[in-house]
Amino acid sequence: MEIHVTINGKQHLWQEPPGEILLNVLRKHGFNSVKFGCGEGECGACSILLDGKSVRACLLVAGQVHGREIVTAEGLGTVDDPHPIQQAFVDSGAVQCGFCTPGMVLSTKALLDKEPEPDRARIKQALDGNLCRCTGYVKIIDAVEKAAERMKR
Amino acid sequence: MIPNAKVCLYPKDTQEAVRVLSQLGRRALLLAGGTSSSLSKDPSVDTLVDITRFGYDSIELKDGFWHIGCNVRMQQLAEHQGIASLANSMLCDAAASVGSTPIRNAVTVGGNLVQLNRWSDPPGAFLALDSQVVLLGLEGKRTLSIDEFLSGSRNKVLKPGQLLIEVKVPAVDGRIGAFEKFARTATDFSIVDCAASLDLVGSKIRSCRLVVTGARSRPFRVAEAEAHLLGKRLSMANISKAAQLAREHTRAIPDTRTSVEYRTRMVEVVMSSVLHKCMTLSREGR
Ligand SMILES: Cc1cc2nc3c(=O)[nH]c(=O)nc-3n(C[C@H](O)[C@H](O)[C@H](O)COP(=O)(O)OP(=O)(O)OC[C@H]3O[C@@H](n4cnc5c(N)ncnc54)[C@H](O)[C@@H]3O)c2cc1C
Ligand code: FES
Ligand code: FES
Repeated sequence: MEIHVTINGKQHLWQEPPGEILLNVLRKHGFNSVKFGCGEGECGACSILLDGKSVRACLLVAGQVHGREIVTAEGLGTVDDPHPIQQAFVDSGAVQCGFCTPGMVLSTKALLDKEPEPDRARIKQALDGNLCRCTGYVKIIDAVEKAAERMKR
Repeated sequence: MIPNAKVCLYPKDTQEAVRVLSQLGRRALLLAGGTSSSLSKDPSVDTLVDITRFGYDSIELKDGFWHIGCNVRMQQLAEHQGIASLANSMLCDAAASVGSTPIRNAVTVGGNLVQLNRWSDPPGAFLALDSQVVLLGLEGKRTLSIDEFLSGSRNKVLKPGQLLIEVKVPAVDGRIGAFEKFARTATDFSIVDCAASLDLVGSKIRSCRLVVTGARSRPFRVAEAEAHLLGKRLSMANISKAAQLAREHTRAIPDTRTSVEYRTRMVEVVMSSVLHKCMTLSREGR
């Protein structure tokens, strides 16, 4: 089936079975920041922004995103020109293996787009769907605070 | 992954959706939030029907009811100011207790009520608030009480091809309410939820609905505990007795999380906690 979808501001036309899991399709088309962790909505490694909201790419099928807008971590910044959120994660030591990081960064983006000055309690709530198995959460929350501060300026 | 799906349809209105679903029968799979339906492996499905494009994604106050469209997402319900004004925001609390933020951004009110897992949180709050459910099929609309929707056999209440299009919650002022979810972690499935809504005249209880969720496969009202409270005040002694009756009249089921004994015991603990919250709220004059 023909699926029209905007990813990171660019229009794409996919020829894909509409029942294929979106996570697999995104990875097949090179969006490798979207990770496979659990495949059942528990871990957040597959986070994307769909029309601005953080959701699970492992719990959507390709047909559901026809005509809609997706943002992945690739759309935020590059290695040479990182987004302030990405830079704040680096500067805070909030990345160890990095598997959870694209999801963490996207959940942070969704939060800060809506609430530019969240307190720590609110940050924890907004990241409640993203598990990290190595860094722990303190540095990640620090990174969100730092990003919020820098983006205000 | 739905292995044999060839196309996905996006009906523009509810009539078109009902027509397509009725025509295709088992060849069609209805997708709402997708959090359960996307994991279907049904080989007989060749057509997906995404119902999230036909509207029914807002919450409106009309004719004394809050009309909540089937495509309203849980996060939207949890944050809605009008719904927060209802029975001390117990329905917002129930919606906010569903999984994690990204899950709530996807799960719809309709999908959650139709899927109805043992641990689904919002249906119990809808039951405590005396809601109604509106179904639409080829033969037209049908409104039924949430009690009937939750107690009937699934295939009889919601026939194949039928849609749940909205939930209506009476916009009654002055009801006191509380919802509490008891789970292992902030985002885990519930072990037991309790929900209570009370109508007081002075300090006496004129009517009440006490609901237990998670202990059995469906949420249910505890008639014996409700009867005990009628005409009485919300005192410590009355609360203890009502919570004890809730435990005694719950035949809990076990699962991998907890035993029957533990879950049964927690019914009393959580019901007592919810009623204490109601007592505090009533003393604060709200
Ligand atoms: C990791 C995770 C954690 C979760 N935690 C919780 C939790 O704590 N509490 C909780 O309550 N829920 C929780 N859920 C959600 C729950 O398990 C269901 O997945 C969800 O309620 C389904 O809603 P949906 O909108 O995604 O529907 P879908 O998955 O799209 O559909 C579910 C079913 O309902 C049918 N359907 C959908 N909408 C309609 C309609 N309007 N009319 C007729 N039929 C319809 C579909 O055909 C399908 O059979 C969790 C889910 C996941 C994945
Ligand atoms: S892979 Fe999607 S939440 Fe874990
Ligand atoms: S950095 Fe390894 S999982 Fe978070």
